[in-house]
Amino acid sequence: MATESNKITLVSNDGAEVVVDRNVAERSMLIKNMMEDLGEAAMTQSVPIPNVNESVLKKVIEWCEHHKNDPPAAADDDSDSRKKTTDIEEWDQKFMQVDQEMLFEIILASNYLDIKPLLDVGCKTVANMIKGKSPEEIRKTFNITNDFTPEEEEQIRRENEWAEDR
Amino acid sequence: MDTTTTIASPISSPPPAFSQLAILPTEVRLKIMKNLDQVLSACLGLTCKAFYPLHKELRGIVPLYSWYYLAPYAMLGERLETWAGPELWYQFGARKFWSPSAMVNPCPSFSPHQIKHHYRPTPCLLPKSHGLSTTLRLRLENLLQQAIMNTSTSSSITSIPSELQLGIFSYLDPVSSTCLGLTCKKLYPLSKKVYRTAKLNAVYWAPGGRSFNYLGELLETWAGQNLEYLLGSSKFHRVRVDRRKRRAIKDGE
Repeated sequence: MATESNKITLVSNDGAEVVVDRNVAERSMLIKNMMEDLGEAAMTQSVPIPNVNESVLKKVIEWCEHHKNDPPAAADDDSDSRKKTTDIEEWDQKFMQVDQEMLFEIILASNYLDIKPLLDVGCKTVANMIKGKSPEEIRKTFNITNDFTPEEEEQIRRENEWAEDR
Repeated sequence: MDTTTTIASPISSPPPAFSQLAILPTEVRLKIMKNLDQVLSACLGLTCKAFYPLHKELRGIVPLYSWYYLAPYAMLGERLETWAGPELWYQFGARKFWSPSAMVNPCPSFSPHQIKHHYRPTPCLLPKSHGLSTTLRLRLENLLQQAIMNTSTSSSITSIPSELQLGIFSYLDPVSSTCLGLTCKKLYPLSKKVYRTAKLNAVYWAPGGRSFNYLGELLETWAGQNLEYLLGSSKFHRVRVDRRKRRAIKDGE
């Protein structure tokens, strides 16, 4: 595509404009596909990114910047080998040291913008916060309200054959 | 120029007296559906019973906020608004259909009146003089609408859509997955989906493999004071004798 400028302007849902290199923004498959569909027109217009506010958008772009030279993910990765490990590279671990709301905002944004590797890092980070904890500890960590009644919990024990009947 | 041409089909003549599409053999219908993205597949699936089961088989559950990438860019929810009927609107913030009349407090920062005002009829948000193509203008207006509708509700593990929750589950071992499932009703069915039934003697290994816990041990407080986990039978038992005594025996093992 022959365009003189290689920058595009993204607009967050709270109206902030963020100028990024096109190859950085195109870590997002949503933006990449949109660029391909709209061609030249999109290069001269700013692109609204609804669902994503300024701080989250900047954070996501920071990740895209750092990972702009990553090789594309192996085609249809062997999901089993990928899923078994929750190892996260050091830079990503530091990147993910944010409060929980931001963490889930990043997950939502990477899903919406279709940035799979970032979505994976987000999900792994949450998974690592869960591992080895009891249900009560998990509820505490994520501020989850227990909405099971004692009878329902009893039912769960029965259907999973966890309780000795006598 | 309009990108809609890319999806225009050769069938622009008036529709036939009866649908040849719906009476095609199942394999052929399946083949057609495999060529559609999930949004189009859902739309076709909703046209009649000949397609719905095929759609379900191929795509499972397609969320309303699934994006259709070709012009006219839209989310599934928007495309299904007429299908959903005049009483239901697609709400971008909640990513669900909702009925403005039935809701007492549809979202925190707008009153129903304001939503109506903001959402319909579609105001022209972009100045006409911008020299945008119609497609791009519609697309941008659409996105701006969403931005207006997008109310800020704080994100948490229980508020994110279930496919993303499933994404998290997919990185968990059976023990951690079961524990997460037991925290609340929203997550329980997902944990069942990932690992049917974890046995109480399933083991969680701490990173590095230096220590481990049985699921039963992690669930002792969950099971309550009257039950305790016994390593021997790998089940919860009613506490009969003095609990502390039992514990002492267990620790000795």
